[in-house]
Amino acid sequence: MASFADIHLDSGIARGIVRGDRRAQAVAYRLMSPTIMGMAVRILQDEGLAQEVVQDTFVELIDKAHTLKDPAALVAWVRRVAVNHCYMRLRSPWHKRRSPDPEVPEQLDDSNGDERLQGYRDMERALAVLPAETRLVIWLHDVEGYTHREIGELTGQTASYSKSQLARGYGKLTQLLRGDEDDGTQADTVRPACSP
Amino acid sequence: MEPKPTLSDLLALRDGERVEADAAGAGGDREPEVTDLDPDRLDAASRETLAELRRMKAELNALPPVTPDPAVWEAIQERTAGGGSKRGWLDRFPLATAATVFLAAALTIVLWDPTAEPGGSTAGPQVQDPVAALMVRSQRLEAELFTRAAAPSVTATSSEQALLYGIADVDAQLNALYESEGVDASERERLWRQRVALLESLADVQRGQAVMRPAIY
Repeated sequence: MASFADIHLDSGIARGIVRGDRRAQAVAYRLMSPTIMGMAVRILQDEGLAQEVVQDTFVELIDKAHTLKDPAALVAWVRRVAVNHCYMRLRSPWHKRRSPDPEVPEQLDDSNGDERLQGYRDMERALAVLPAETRLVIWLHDVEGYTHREIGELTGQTASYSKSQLARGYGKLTQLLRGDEDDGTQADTVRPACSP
Repeated sequence: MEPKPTLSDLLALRDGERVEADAAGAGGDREPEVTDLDPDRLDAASRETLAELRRMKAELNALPPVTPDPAVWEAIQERTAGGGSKRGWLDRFPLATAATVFLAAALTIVLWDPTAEPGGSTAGPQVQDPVAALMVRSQRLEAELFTRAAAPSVTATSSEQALLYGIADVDAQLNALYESEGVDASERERLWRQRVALLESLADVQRGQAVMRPAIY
């Protein structure tokens, strides 16, 4: 599992970080950095930028942890900082210029190796094809449990924008993972009113 | 007959969210129309899509964490060296604090020869207190662990955390012992032995982690 919700940071470690204890910082790094890296690399699709996110997040944690009033909120605080660092990089003109228009790979499933690992690889490759902001929305909503309203606040958009991105993303993922040319979903169409 | 739900509707259903009609998109202050989809009334294709959406969400959540390059932690340490805390060095290294204080005590025990004449020769340790040896061993292990802590490479285990807290607990007991009137020598030796054993276990765990740095896939 790669979510911050799966991180259990002992209260003693959290207090140690607030105190500036190097050993507590090292334990926290071991616990949290793989999750931050996992999130950043999947959203940004760039290992170098993802490592920068990890680095900047921890530097901010170490520099500012002493201002944290509630050590129990430390993981949530780190998540917010890490998400902000991801989003800043996503929005940077430099990153936008480097990101090519995504192309659909000819075939996702090359049927090699363990089925579970193949499933990971297929999902990773399908994610990589999505537009960056769509990946951000999917990851924050489905893995990190952000609400559409929270994603809207982060991106300066509306909750509806987040919903629309999620639906578009899943439409594309479904298509890619099924290997369909057109799966007939109506992700991009205006939703007809549903009867109560 | 119910209209065919969109992917947005099915995602909302999957996530236990209310399905909102697109009235919000029309602007104005009007509250969006909210309704509930009944999964039992979905057509077969929608049910299949819903199951697929659930499966994909589970797959996303099952993607493994990714371990950053060890150089990242080194860079973090460089960037935060000398900063990040307004507190003193001793406060930042609580385990080392205990070791340092007690190492001083150990040196006193080792070097002090109660039989020596004032101003006599300083011919080296005359008394071999087992506690002093434990203190020195403890100090060496701490130095090794602290060096390794500077380059963490894998996810911390709960056993590692448990050992760290075990050491902190022993330190608290040692502090209480030294603050009490009349130090109980056997209790002091027992605690120092326990401290060294915990540090040995922690060093073993960390040595094992250093060897078993895993690939992500």
